[in-house]
Amino acid sequence: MLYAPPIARLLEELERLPGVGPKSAQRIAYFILRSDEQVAGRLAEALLEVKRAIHFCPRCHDFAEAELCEVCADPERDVTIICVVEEPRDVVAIERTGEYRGLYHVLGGVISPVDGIGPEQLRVRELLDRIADGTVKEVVVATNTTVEGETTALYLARMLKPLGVRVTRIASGLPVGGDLEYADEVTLGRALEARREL
Amino acid sequence: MTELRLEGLRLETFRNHRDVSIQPAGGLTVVVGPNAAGKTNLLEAIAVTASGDSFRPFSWPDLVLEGEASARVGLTGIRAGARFEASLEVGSTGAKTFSYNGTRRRPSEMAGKIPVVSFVPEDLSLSKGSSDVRRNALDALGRQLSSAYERIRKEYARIVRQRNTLLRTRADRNALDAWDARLAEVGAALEIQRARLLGRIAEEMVPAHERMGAREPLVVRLLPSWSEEQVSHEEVVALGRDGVRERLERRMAEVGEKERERGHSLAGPHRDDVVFVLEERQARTAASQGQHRTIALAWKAAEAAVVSQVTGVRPVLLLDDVMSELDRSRREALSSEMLGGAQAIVTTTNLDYFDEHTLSSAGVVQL
Ligand SMILES: [Zn+2]
Repeated sequence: MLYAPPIARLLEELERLPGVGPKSAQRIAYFILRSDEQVAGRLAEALLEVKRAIHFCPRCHDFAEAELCEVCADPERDVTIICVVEEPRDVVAIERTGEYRGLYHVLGGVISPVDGIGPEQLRVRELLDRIADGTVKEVVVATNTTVEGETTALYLARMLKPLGVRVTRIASGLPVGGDLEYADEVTLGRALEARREL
Repeated sequence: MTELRLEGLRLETFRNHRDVSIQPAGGLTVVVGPNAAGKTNLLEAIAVTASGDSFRPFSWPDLVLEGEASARVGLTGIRAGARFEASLEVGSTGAKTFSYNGTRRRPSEMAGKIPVVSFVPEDLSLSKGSSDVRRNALDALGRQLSSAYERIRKEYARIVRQRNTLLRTRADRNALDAWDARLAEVGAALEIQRARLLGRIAEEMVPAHERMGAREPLVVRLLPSWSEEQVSHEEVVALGRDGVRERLERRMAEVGEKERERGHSLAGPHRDDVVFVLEERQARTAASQGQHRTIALAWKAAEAAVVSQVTGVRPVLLLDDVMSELDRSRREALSSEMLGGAQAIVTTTNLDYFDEHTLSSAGVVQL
């Protein structure tokens, strides 16, 4: 079937989104076509707004609205401990447990040679820089328990230990191969409490 | 021992079958038909539904009859005195759904519910073929018996793939170190799992081999990547994870340069071998055709015994056209070692491979 050019263009853009295949793109496009103009307007506005207002926090590389993200800007947080995670969504998962009061560092992925991702493609250099002034005493590595997440944890431990910080790993009460994002909050809270030395 | 009996099997648009149902007998069922009638597909449908895996390489979309949107397999029977119903649905895109008694299951959750042991002509190259035949035979059994085994095996395979990629690129030394450590750690865990499993197999296989009339006693050994000499499975288990890990690390240090040259990992359980020894000679190079077949038969008999011990359920045997590959005495050995009392579905192109006495108590299905 041939779509009118504006619809085809919308479908093309929607299909670029992660997890959206041709069928879902079609469903979303039809929904927008059937809705009144305000719906489309609000969506377009929200998309532009999020790109205008949100940037990466220069310290932890989580999303931030102000100069620094909420965690980095909070004077109550414990600045002697940094929790290293893969993605911003992992920060959300850990914050939800309410068990953790330290800072974060978002790597932006994990080491995966088959995907062409080495330490240089991640924010490892930036992490080492944050450790340099001696304030940080412990780094908790909370990458996922996948093969790549575990290897990245080991790599970080090897890079960080010579700098004189304690490096720990959250206890693997998490389902193996599972994403932090899906770990239920109780499990994750307990995993944080029972972290082990790497 | 928990009783298990398959009573019904239905295939809908599965491979070449549009809609076929059979009611297996409690003991032996012989499925007879010409080549390309789909006899192997019938056994495959049972294996895939029961274990999430086939005895031959396959991709999920291949299971769907061409031009159809999905394939379905239904198994019904009695398990521990209660009726069960297991089903598999595969879409032409490869999406698959397993269910057991109406509840959706992951394939790993099916482990031990309906254990099957398959025996196909390719299995006869066990002692003659390359080392991956023997590793795959162990892994296929391990996967069926334990989800932990399968998790470790998959994790290890992924580590090797990642590390090989890294070896082929100009690797960051620290990054390679991290992969080395992971390979040694998970590799050691896999080696221990394999050695334990091989120990159980050997315990059953050696006497079965003797009962099958072999004159030379069989010895089952391991040849790990870190050793120049064969070792026993007990020795590997006794080393423990730490011991094996140290040996792997030492071996990796020795072959490091060669690995970077060749761009793949040369130390680790993906390079291990199982060695069958007859009269102090390796069967792989020294055994006769007949000796190879007896070894393969003894392995299969051991597999069925180990599955029974571990799951507490006597497995359903799926034998695909192996009778034609065996001489008369080995056919008899197969019957007495494996078929006695077990539920078995056996395919053949020719009923003459079965004596009249066997056939009189068997179910016969024409395809
Ligand atoms: Zn921040």
